[in-house]
Amino acid sequence: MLLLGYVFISASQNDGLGPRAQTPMPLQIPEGWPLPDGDIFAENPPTKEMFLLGKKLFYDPRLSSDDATSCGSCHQSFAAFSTYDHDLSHGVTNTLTTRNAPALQNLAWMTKFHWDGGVANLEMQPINPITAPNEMGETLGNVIAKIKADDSYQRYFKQAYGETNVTSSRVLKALAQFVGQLTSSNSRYDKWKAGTDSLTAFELSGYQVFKQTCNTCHAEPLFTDNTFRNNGITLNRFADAGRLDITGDAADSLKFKVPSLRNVQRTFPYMHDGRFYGLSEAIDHYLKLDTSLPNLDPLLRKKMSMSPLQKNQLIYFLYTLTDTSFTNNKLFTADAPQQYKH
Amino acid sequence: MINLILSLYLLFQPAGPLKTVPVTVHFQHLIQGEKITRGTAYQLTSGDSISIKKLKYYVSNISFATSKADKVSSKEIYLVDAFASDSLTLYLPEGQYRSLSFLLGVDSIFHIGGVQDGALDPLNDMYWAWNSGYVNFKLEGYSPQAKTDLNRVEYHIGGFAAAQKTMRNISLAYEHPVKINQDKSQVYINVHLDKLWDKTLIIANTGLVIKAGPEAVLIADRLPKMFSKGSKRMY
Repeated sequence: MLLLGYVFISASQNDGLGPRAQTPMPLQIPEGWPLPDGDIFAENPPTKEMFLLGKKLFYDPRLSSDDATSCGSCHQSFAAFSTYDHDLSHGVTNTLTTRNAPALQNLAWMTKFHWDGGVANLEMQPINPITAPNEMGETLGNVIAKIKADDSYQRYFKQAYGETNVTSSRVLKALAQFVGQLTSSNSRYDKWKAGTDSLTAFELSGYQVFKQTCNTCHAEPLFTDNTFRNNGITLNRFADAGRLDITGDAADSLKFKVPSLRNVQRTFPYMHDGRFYGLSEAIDHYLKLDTSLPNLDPLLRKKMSMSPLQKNQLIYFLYTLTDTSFTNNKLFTADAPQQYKH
Repeated sequence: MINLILSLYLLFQPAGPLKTVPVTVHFQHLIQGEKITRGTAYQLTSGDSISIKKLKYYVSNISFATSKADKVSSKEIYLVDAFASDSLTLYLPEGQYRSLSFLLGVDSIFHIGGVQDGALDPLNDMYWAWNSGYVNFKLEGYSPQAKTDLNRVEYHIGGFAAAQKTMRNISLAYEHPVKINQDKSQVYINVHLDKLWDKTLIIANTGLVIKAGPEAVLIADRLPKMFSKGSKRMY
């Protein structure tokens, strides 16, 4: 009833922006995938209109203090929404982040965000990059003021929310709808599993290596178990202790989130600080790991081994996780060419 | 959304309908019995001195109880700001109330929840981004005893999980029942800030507490001491 009232009032005002539209856009659960642990859209029913508002915001460089750095500057569609070929990303005024920008994919299956899991809710996550001085360096208040001053948003807000008023919750809920819908589930691996494509014998051998050595943490079908683990990575120059800084629990020292291996070919360099440039180096880390390190994940106490041939097979298998229908999806990529100022 | 709508519910429904009346709860922020003003230097009983520029905290789960242990609770969340909005208004059935309790801070469900409007709007400068959640209690100022940059004192008391929890329940009992009716609907709570510090907590040792952890918990444990029932308007 309330909703009908809304549309009626809006129409009678004849502001030229049209009525509120609510085209349902439920999260699609790919065949054979588990249901997410939580429902990221429980308090934020997904509609096409909110998704499109979220997309406009995601690619809007004015969400930053230099008006040149959008969410999409560091979360690039062609890199599965990580920063392509950068160990650290570039923030405003020639700053560098201290962590590698993670891929944004299948976030609906994630319950804690960031490498250290410090962010508990997807709707709140954008506050971190927007306000971090070495990322977008802006205040939420300024972001809202800039959006309010931009007439081109009025239509989007009207369609998504039934009125043009800009609030922090409306901005953040719309952003959550965009990034929460970034599902990658159509790689060659997926098509092979569905029986619509095949893998080469070499790739299939790599799959066997994967299942023997990687599959516990990088668990199918998400290729992560979304846990936080100490994989033997040493303390870096930023003294980044990972999850310890969030929980204060010494047992969490140097634990970082297990990243998904989906689109791993596009998400290099690897690890939380991008210290390994290629997959070969990343795999070597595990093969050469000092298994006596304190606080190392118990699963890595057993020395990992594989032949150079097996390593190559593994890499070729990992390439089958590249999902170009995701990275090229027009629904997700920027509508206008992006300026990468940094 | 739910916390935006002032929702009152009677846990023990008394017989017959009762008239609900507005009640204003005043938080009176005092140092040595005197109302604090922004930026004024005060001598604390601990011997330290301080000037306060910001004092904000969340008050939620407010509950009034009558002598018959009937309880009336509000789900609303309020942000008290000593220098902007230091009172809050809620609606109660007319009656005589013996005690008042509330949570200083917000329930953990909000710390991990989605974006909210109203008191929990992240624009209110109480949301903590790097380690999700809200600052339950925020005090900022300056003290010549503080061994910090610009002698600043900053207590951002947050943390909601297990050992880091900083929300505290506060209960105030009134010897003489507080009559809530159309004529008298003012309730006073005195907040004696100088009770936060003493020999065991001196500003020279504790100038900045701006993350969750043992220090924040230590301060959180001391916060309820500051709150006491008031009987009249102090200023």
